[in-house]
Amino acid sequence: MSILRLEGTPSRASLAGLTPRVHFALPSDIDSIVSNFLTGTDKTRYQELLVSLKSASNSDENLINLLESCYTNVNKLDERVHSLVIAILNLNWNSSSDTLASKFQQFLLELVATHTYFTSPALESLLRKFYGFGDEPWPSTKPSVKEELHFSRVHETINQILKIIPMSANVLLQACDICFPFMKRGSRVNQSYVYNLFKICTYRPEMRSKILSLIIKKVISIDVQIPRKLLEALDDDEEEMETDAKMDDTETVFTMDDVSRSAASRITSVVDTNMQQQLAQTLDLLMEQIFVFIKEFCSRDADENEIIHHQSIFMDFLDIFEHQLLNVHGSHHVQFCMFYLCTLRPILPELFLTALWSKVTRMGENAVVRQTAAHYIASVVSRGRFVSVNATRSILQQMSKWCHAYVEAQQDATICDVKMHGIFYSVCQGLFYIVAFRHADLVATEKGLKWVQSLGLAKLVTSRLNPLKPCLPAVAQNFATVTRTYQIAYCFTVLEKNSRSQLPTVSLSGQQTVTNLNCFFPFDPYLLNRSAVFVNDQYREYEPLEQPGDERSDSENEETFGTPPKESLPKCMSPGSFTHLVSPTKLSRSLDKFSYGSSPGFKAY
Amino acid sequence: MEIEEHMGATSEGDACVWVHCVKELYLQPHYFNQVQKGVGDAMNATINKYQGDLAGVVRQHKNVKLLSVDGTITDEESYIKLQVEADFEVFRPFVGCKLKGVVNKVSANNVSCLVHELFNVSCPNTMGSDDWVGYNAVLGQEITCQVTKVDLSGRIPYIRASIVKLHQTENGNHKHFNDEEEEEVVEEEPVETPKKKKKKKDKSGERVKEKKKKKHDSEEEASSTPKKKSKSRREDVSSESEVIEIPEIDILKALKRKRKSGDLPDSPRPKSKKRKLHMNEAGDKFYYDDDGGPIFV
Repeated sequence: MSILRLEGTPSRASLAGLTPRVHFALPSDIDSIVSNFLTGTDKTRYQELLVSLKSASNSDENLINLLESCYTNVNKLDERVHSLVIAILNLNWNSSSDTLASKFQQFLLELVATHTYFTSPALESLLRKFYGFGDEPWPSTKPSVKEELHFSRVHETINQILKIIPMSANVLLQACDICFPFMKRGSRVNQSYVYNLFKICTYRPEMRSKILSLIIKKVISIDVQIPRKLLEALDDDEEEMETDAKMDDTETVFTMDDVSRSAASRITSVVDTNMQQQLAQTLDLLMEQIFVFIKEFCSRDADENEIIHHQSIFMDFLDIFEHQLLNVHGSHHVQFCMFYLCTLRPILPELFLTALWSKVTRMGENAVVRQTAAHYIASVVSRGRFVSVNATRSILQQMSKWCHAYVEAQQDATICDVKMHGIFYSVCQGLFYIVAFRHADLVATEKGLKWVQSLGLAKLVTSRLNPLKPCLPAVAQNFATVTRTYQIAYCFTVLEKNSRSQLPTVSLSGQQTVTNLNCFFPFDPYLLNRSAVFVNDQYREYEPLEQPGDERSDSENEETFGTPPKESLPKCMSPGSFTHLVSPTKLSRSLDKFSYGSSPGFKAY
Repeated sequence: MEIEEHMGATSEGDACVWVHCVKELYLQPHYFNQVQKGVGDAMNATINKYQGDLAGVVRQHKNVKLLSVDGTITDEESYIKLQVEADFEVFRPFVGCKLKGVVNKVSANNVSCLVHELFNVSCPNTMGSDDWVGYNAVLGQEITCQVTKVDLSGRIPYIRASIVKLHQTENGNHKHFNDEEEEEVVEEEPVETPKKKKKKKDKSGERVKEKKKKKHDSEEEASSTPKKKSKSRREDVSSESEVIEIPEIDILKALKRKRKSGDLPDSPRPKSKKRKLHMNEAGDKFYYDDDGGPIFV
């Protein structure tokens, strides 16, 4: 292709002043180029224009001229010159001068008003500007001043397009989904994009719920990628890992001749952990953005509208929670947005609990969802400092009432069948968990103690359905200890009987059937460093019963791991000896840490 | 398959027709125990979207009726197919028809306007002539144009038109295009009002009926089990009556209008309720006042 054929090339002198680079002037007679292209007389100039637009080395001045000529001839830029329009839309305009930006906005608005079918590519090109520039995450939750200006121009344009074309709201939502950066694309890009999606919510409140739902969907997909164990390991052995990685590097250098399989697998595992580390950072930043959005949204006009404000955002999130989060298996952090929302007003945790409880008791609902809702109730009541004693009492009352009614209705049941009575066992475990966790609040006064006794826990424990059996051993042990201390119920005989009668069951397929409940504690400790500040204030750590003479050696604890053997029963009578679910080798670490994963997060001794 | 019957245009210049037809809906399995909600959601999903079988964009619908007792599940597909009969208001512009809109963007060679506050119509100066009418257009002005090109199938319908006439408001100052809602209401009034009244009555009557039916339905559904019938399974949707009446779903819109008229007692709406609008040859609208003299709008 000959560069000499381009018409209207400015003199060298005028070009030399701008940048040291060589620029090819863009033609300003779009009119004739397009009409020649359409009639078929001269296609080369059109193609040359496309190439020079994509070369990304055009001076501002040239681009301004081009955009002006496009603006006046916008009627001719229809679907037949689709590729030219797309090339113009993809121009990098925002990082440059103000005039160029305003020309571009002008052209864009004119284009979508004249040819509505270009709305979708136009919005997509705008949304891609939200990726920002640079790789390092912002030190604070906000972008730099320069970037903020860049973003505000894009927002202004989007807002105007939405005003001119009322039907484009749906197109925008779709474009938001399409343009959402892939989770492994880097934490900065994701942070910047999510920040700007939240910005759209501020000037388009009617789109808020849908945008929130989109963001949560994406954050969930990141959250379930990161195993909890990895985060714990990251917390502990960060330095260790680094040295390990260095060691690996040197090793690979010297053993290039025969790379053993183990070395190769070690490298891949390091790459994997690095990837997941990066994902964890992304998740941390996105969670931070979500918390900041909630915080700012609620403090925007803090006068008489505050209550409505809080409730509206809460209802949005509750809707998303019920439709997305309740159905997700293995999320660890996204649910903390509900936790944080509940800290805003005392009424909100009650609303949350009511919604959850209605899920548990709704007959038509899927059993898994009902069980998950029960787990959520147990976890939020235990972990949230914002749940008042009264709210705790009322939910406990409801739960125990429901359980008693269930036992009444199932008098024929003789065996403990987790599959059949899963919801009942989940609710019971929740009940035990809350009592074990919040015993200090519940029995603070004599009246409170009497109230706990009135729940009829003893009757429940000794019922034929045997709710203690499928419970997580740690929960059962702690509950037994607490109830024994306050003389509410006597569970150890039941526990002993259960441990004796626990036979290994084998199904036809040869796999051991699950006799324990599928345990899930959604509000286990929050492990992301940056965003944890929003949660930590209101997070309740486990406070064990303190009794003298409970000190036990590690070896004794190891003995009680899993189902307690018969002879260790007297030890089980004391609160200190409940089982550790982390492996015994990690015991030393768990002494000053919480045990996670399938454990309820009780403090280990 | 489709019984279509035109019920006439709603009013001049809006290119809308009421169509009575049979439509097939596909419900997802999670609607099994809430068929009414499913039908409502599926019907609402058609609003403001291009429907190929109706050859236009659905504006609203009413009188939704389930035609059959059963829904069918064919082969391995997950959804239930239901047949529904309803009246649809369909926006169906064609080349050559006239549209009334409000200008919402004016630029050198193009005037863009909104029809029904929703559909963008662009009126470009295609000939490049110097005495183009569009040069006089002002934001918020009412405009009549003639369609020259239509493509409704995209996510945003594309309509191109040429300007026929720019309407001048009496005082010369044009309403801002955010306020045009009242303006449009005046025109639609003579045709729309009687229908709406009917609707409201129908609704209250239907609701009582439905409450009774709902109870019955849920009981039925709980006990019914899917039966196998030759190749296709059939799912009992309701067994009692052949036709379930589904409430008019456009409640939000109705509420919105209701509130609007309540908030603005001085709007021209109540006036035009009683009087019929006429149009003279020049296209100006007027109505006859109590003395029989014409009053121009």
